[in-house]
Amino acid sequence: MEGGPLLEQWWTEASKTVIPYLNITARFEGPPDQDLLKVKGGRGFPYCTLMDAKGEVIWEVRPSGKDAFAKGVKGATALAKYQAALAKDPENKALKANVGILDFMGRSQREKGSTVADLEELAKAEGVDAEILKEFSSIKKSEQIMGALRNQRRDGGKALLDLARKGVAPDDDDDMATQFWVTVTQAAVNAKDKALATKAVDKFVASAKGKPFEERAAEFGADLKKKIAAIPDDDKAKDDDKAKDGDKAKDGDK
Amino acid sequence: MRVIAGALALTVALSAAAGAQSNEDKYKKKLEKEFVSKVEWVTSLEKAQEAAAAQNKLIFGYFTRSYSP
Repeated sequence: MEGGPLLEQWWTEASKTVIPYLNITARFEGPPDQDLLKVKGGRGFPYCTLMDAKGEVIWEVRPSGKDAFAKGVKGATALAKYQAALAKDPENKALKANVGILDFMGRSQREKGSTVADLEELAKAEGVDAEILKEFSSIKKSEQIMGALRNQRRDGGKALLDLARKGVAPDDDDDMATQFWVTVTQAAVNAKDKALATKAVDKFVASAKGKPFEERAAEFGADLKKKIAAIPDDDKAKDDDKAKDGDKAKDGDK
Repeated sequence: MRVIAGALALTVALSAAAGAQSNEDKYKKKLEKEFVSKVEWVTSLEKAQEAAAAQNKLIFGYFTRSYSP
């Protein structure tokens, strides 16, 4: 962070849209505002937040790039606006949904106050902000994918394979894309699903482009492609299955 | 025995002093980092809150540490 994004020109410009506050935990008396990390909900350094004029944390954002930071500022501004409106109209269901979803999105280190299932109920209200609903769809998809990724050791990637078969996958620029597609490739190879494995391995290699592990991913992708090539073509596999079924039926006749 | 205990206490005290000094040095070094001079950081949360209220802006808080890399 300090040797990267915080040295970039976009950050110098973006910092003018907020009040940049620097808190350094130094472990000696003297520097201002010591031991504030935990008070503000941080679990580790560096911790990056957007706070209101009362010092309340509204949104956790890593200024990893111009767009990510702008998205955080936009989300925090919208959340503050909807929180103020909800304070005046506490029974308004659409406002509750807007606040609930945005609050969920703005918490990465702080404990989330609600679950996706809670928000699903809230999101049924009429008049919920369409842009927030769209973000909520993305959250639901990410939660599904993260849950399947957490389970991959237990189920050998079956849940991920099911998601990929249903067309549920992370966006190409999502950090989860590489892990998702490599696991789907391996699970598809094991399931002898040649078409999906072929698509998944290309997605896996593409997702690693420009990343430090690009070369290793390309090599591993080449190995996986050899395994995929060894899978019988789908039609042939189906024919083989039919033949097996036929043999079973004949055995049954006997 | 007393001499050993005294020497040990002195060593501990000196180490503690050296540690405190070291943390101050580390803090100074942190403030000399390029990222600090790139932006006009406010280092008091109270002042940041006053500025946020006056300029109707959000505060971006960057929490870091100097005692350890």
